[in-house]
Amino acid sequence: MNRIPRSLCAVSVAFLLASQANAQLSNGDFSSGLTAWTSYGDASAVSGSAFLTTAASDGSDDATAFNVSGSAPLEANIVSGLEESSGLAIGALDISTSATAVEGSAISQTFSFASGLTQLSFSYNFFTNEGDNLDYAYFAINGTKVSFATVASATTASGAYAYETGVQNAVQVFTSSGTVTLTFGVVDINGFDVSSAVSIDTIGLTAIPEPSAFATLAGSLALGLVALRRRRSV
Amino acid sequence: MKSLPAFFQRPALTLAAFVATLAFTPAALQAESLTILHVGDQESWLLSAQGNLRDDSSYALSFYGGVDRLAAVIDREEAAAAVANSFVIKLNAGDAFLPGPRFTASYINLATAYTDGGQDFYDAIALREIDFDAAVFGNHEFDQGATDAARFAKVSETTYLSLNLNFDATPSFAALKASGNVAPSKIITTTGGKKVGIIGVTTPLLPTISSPGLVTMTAGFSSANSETQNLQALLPSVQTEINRLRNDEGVTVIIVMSHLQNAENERTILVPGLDNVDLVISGGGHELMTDTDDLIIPATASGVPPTFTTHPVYNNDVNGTATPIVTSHFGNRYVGEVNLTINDVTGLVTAVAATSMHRVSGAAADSDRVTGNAALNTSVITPVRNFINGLNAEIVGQTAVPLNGGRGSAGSGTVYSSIGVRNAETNLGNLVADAMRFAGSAQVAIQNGGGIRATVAGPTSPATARDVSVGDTFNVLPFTNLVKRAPAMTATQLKDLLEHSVAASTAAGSAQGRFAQVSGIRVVYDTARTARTAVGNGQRIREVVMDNGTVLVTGGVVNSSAPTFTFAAVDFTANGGDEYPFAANSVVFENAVTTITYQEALADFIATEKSLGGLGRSNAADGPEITSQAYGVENPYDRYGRLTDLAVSAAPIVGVTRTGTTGRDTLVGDANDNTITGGLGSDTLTGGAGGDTFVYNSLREIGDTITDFTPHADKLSLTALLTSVSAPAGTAVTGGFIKIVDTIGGVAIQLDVDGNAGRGAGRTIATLRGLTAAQIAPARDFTL
Repeated sequence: MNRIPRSLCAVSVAFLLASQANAQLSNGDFSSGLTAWTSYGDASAVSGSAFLTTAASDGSDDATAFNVSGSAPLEANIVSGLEESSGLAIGALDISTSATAVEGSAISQTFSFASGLTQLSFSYNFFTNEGDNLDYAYFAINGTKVSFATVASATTASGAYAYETGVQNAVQVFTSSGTVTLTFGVVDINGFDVSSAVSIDTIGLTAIPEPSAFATLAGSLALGLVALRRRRSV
Repeated sequence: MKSLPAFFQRPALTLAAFVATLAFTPAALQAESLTILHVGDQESWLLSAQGNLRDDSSYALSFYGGVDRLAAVIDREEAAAAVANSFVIKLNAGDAFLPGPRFTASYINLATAYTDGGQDFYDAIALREIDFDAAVFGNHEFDQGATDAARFAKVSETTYLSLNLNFDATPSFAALKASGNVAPSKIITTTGGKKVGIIGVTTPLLPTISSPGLVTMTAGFSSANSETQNLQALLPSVQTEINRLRNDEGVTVIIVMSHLQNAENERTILVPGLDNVDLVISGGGHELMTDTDDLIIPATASGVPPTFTTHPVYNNDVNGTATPIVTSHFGNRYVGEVNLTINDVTGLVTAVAATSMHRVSGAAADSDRVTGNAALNTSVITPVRNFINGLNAEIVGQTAVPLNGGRGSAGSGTVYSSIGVRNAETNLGNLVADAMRFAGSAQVAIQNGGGIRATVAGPTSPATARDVSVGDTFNVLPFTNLVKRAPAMTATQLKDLLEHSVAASTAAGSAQGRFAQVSGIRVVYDTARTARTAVGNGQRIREVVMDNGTVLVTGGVVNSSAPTFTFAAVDFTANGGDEYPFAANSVVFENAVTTITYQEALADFIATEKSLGGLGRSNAADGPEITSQAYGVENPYDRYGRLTDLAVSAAPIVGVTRTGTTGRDTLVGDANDNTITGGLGSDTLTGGAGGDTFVYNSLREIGDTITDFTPHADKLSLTALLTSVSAPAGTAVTGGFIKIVDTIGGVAIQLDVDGNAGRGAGRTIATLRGLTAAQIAPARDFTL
């Protein structure tokens, strides 16, 4: 997996607003591997990023083996499966009754953060071999899921995988209640075969000063995702 | 040719009158000529022979027929007869209307339109304009009950004839009888003073194929008799009327106008049993009789080839005298003409001088084309067309497939000439039976094939869908038949009813109106075995299995321990129509008056949202309501489907075994019985025709799409999958281990490894395209 591009740190809006970063989130840049994170399924630290896949441990999902850790992905829609490990209700990762979540991998960390409006920022790259099914990558904050990358958004030819999104930055505003459970995951939809993966890096949290018109706007948006995509030159 | 001296023998004519006649109508010196113009079975084909379209370039047949053009042809021939100085009699052989969308237009638009402020009918307006001398009661005149039959006869202002109906049975008929509007016979006196007697005879099938209510059949009729016995029993009464007219009324020409449903009845029973009949006009059988010089509606315009290539046909009467029989097809497509030569002295018919079958055409290329009667164009064609356009605009759903509502017809051996609702399971029959079952909240439903009257066209290209309108549902199910429900039918009762359904069926595909389309059951029968003649003695029904797996009949033997079930049928059959033995089997129907007709049941079923058990797709991405998977084209030659005749269908043929790789496969079976195992990966599977089994062995094989899963033929084999996750087979569905969930474009069959009792949820094993959750019956469709 050494062909995965190194995540690039972009200067995000978050830093312009920053008063405190990484308050009590540990190892948000994965400089210490997966230390402080709980991993589920095929989760590893690769080249200073977290790397999650839906690939079977025996390599049977694809023409070549994409599993990194040797651990099988965690099944979905079962008790103590992928959803419950992500702090979600069983079934919460399904897209529809015919596009159900079957398995996936996740990392999770629970930490304290000052109450109030908070901005999450991170960078990612989503990889997939899928052409048919609707695999996606998500994060969950205190039981609310946001899909941030899909097969449809992975349009760039990749190295090891068929397609990737390229490295992207994302920000998300949410209201911290003092304790935050943050999960990142990747989920296999419909069939177990054909793998997808996501790399995650540079996770940062920033308290947003109040009051301001921006806070009102952000509050009304609740968990509206803003993905700042950056095109790769070809 | 008559001679002058013979003419002088007429005592009534003075010399002066003769001279006057000689001076102004020289033809009267010739033999007198009688021109009979006859039509029959008009059946509310008011707009065109196509049905609801008129002069539509996509449908060549829509340029033929039309009651205004029929009237124009009659006008033309009447004028020609006048030039030839021939006396014209216009006769109508019955079934002057047929319930359906075009007849419903009368109820909606003309409820107070007649001169007395009451109900008029567009069909009656046409009869008045054409001014028929007489009509005979067919069966369809009684389809809306005796009251409407009398009303129609009254406002048609046409003398309606029948010597074997009890016109004293209702006040409205008694009034018509008193005023002479209905009668056993009618005498028409020609300009030459000759008396022509016309006698009407109605099919003794009337009580079983229509709804005459209190109007009973007379003239030897017995409900215990067979059709042939009743026809034989009629003969003395007809002969008595012939003799009375000839001996007591001075009638010298006898025309029997009989609506007996099949010209063979006139040819082989009526004519050979009678004496002194000059012409028989047969109705109800739709046969086309043409001579080689007649122009016919071309096959390229969906015209029907002639049943008889001579017009008329002859058979010998009781004295060996050849007697002519004519028919005039149906649907305002032709006007028949018979010219009789009459002896000027005796008034007797001396010859059938000429006959013609006049095509009713409005097609620009046809030399015989006519412009429709202007008055009828305004008073009938335009308003009925507007009404139909309104109905056609009301869309209830879409179909991906053409829906076969043809009658079907017998071929030879075990090969049908055509497959239709009266000789085999068809997709439209299935759809209607399903709608009946849905409307009646029943487990089992049947629909007699005779109640299904039209085909619904499919999309112009396979990938698209065609709108289905309210107008289509009226075309298919035109009668006012109400849905009836029996709350507790037994296996014994159902077997006898099904025995009746197939008692007259043959391996060659004889079309029988009683032939039942079914829902909620699979029926295997054998037309090579003994047919039912009385309650309980049929041996043709071999297997009957309900969709929930309950075996009602096996090896021809009723499972007497089977529980009762709910059942639905139309009131027509529930009341004994098509001779259905509900009463003989003591089947009890609910008394609750249901106001829904079978047409409404069909429209509702298509439009009702699928989550509520109908076919409705509220999401455009869901595709059409009527899919090829649920309502694919059926044929009687394979062992699969709801209805199988062992004498016709071939034994199953083992097909191919397709096994997928560990990756994502696209597997396609052949036309036989295939075993398809997608294996690991999210596969796309297509079974093709035949009975196919889709096998799942482990959790990691799930996530497939099956493009053509066909209930009643294909199966999902889930045994190994359930075992692999330690789920119990016996309670796999009831315990929620296997879930059946509607999804966009199909139904998802899901696996929940800990069932309803655990917190786990379903993961989709396979999405079956084109089906709904309500269309899946686990006992029928799954191997657990």
